[in-house]
Formats: sequence, structure tokens, C-alpha cells
Amino acid sequence: MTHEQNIQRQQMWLQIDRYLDEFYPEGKKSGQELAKAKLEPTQIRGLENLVVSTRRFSEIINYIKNQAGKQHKQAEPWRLVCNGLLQQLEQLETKGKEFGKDDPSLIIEAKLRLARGWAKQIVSHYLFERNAKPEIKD
Amino acid sequence: MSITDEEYQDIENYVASSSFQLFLDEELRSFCEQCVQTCLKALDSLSPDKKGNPRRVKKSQLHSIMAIVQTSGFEGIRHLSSIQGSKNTAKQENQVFWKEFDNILISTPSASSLTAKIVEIVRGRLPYLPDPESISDKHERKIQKRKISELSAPIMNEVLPIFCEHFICHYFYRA
Repeated sequence: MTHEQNIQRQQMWLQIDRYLDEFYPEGKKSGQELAKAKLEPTQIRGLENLVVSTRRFSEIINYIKNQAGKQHKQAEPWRLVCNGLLQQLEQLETKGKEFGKDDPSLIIEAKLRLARGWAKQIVSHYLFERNAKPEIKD
Repeated sequence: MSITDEEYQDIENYVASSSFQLFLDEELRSFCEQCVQTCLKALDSLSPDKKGNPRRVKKSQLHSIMAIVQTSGFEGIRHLSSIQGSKNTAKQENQVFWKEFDNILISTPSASSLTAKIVEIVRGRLPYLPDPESISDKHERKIQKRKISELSAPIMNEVLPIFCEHFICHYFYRA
């Protein structure tokens, strides 16, 4: 990697962090929706683990679609939240392409960094909504 | 007209590149979404079932796809389409769906099949390769087709499992 490429990458990280700050209310809203839909912690951890470990952004999208499309009772909460989650992932993907410009490796990296930031937001708000006492939430 | 080391290396380099990874992530996914739409549209042309619902193949039928891809690759999937489409012929939705799925994999001369997409990639990487359909000599045409097919194989090996993942998940979501 050249020095210039390194600088470009670091500037991209800053842009991503700033964008995730702006995106925070959306992430919070998703976390609240997940808690309201009564998804189990194991289901949320499953999503989180995938986001953290995957090298392909589309795998996250496919995971949500797959979960929502299953035919057993545990899939019902996913069906309540899947459209909202997929819309947010679409927004992140658009932004990732913008940050990465014409460089495929930067686009891939940007999308994954955005997804990981987003996952942290939704998981933390899901846990807060699920577990915090009403007086703390107020 | 055998494949040169340089040609093979070019394809291998492409498969190892970020451009290819991005293709798998975005363009292939978008293609699969359209393919699912095509299948659903074909199913919607059938009369609804006894409960008035649109006809759909059972999702369990798609479960075997990934295992077949891992063990038997492209030919395995084509064989599966043929078997599934001929089973339980009372259910029109099975025949319609699996016929469409087979078309998506390989239909010629349609430009919208998975095979055509991969050939497009190969010819994009090696633009001097002639279009076999433009070759009048039957023997030469056959050789050229075989060459392109061999050059397509490393790409198809990587594309096929991801294609099936995109397809199955989107079908589950939409059906």
C-alpha cells in the first residue's frame, strides 16, 4: 500500500465514524424495534456474530432474509423487523460505495465497517430496551 | 487453440481480486433478485391454490441446493433441477419453478442466464477471444466454445455457491 493509499484509507475511516454518529438515531430505533418485536438475545447475538466475522456485506442481508423467511414460530419476530433492517443496510451500502469511490477494496471495507458500527448500535439499544428499568429509560 | 498459461493466470488473478469480490457482493446479488422475481412471476401465472393463495414451491425443496453445490457443482444443480421438476407432476408449481431455475442457470441464447453472465466476464477479461457464434466453421466453433467453458470454470466454481445463497435467501424472503 502506498502512503497516499494509506492516507485515503484513514480519511475514509473518519468519514465512516462521522456518518455512524449521524446514523445513531436510526440504529437506536432499530434496537428498540428488535426489543419490541421480542427477539431473543440469542437471535440478536447470532446477527451480531455474523456481522463481526463476515467478509461479505451481502451475507448480512441474506442472513436477515433467511431468518425472516423460515417457516417456524421463531421467525415471526424477524418478519416484523426485517424490512426496516434491510432498508438501513441498503442506506449503509449506498454510503459505503460513496466513501470507497472507485476502489473495490475500499468499497468492501467501508461497507463492512459501517455494518459493524451499525450492529453495535442496534445490539446495545436492544439490550438497553430489553433490560433497563423503566425509570432509567425515562 | 488451447488455453495459454497467461490466459489461465489472468482468470485466476481476477478471481482473487477485490473487483470479483465486489461483483459477488453486489452485481450477482442484484442478478439473483431479478431471477427470483422471474420465478415468482412464472408461478403467479398459475391459477391460485385451493385457499386462493399464489402457488409457491415448498421452501424445503430448496434446502438441498447448497449441499448439491458443495458436492457436485454446476452439473449437480442441473441434475437436481431436472429431477425436482419431474417429481410430483401433479404440482404444476414444481415444474414451472424448476424449469425457470434451469433457464436461469444455462438458457441459451438468452443473455440473462448465469452461464451467459460468466462468459461475459471471461470475454471482458480476454476481449480478443472471438464469439463462438460468429465462427462459421463447426469444428472451430466447438473448440472456441470449449475454451471459453474451461476459462469460465474457475469463475463458476466461486460464483455458484454464492449465487445459490443469494437466490435461496431472497426466495425465502419474497415467497
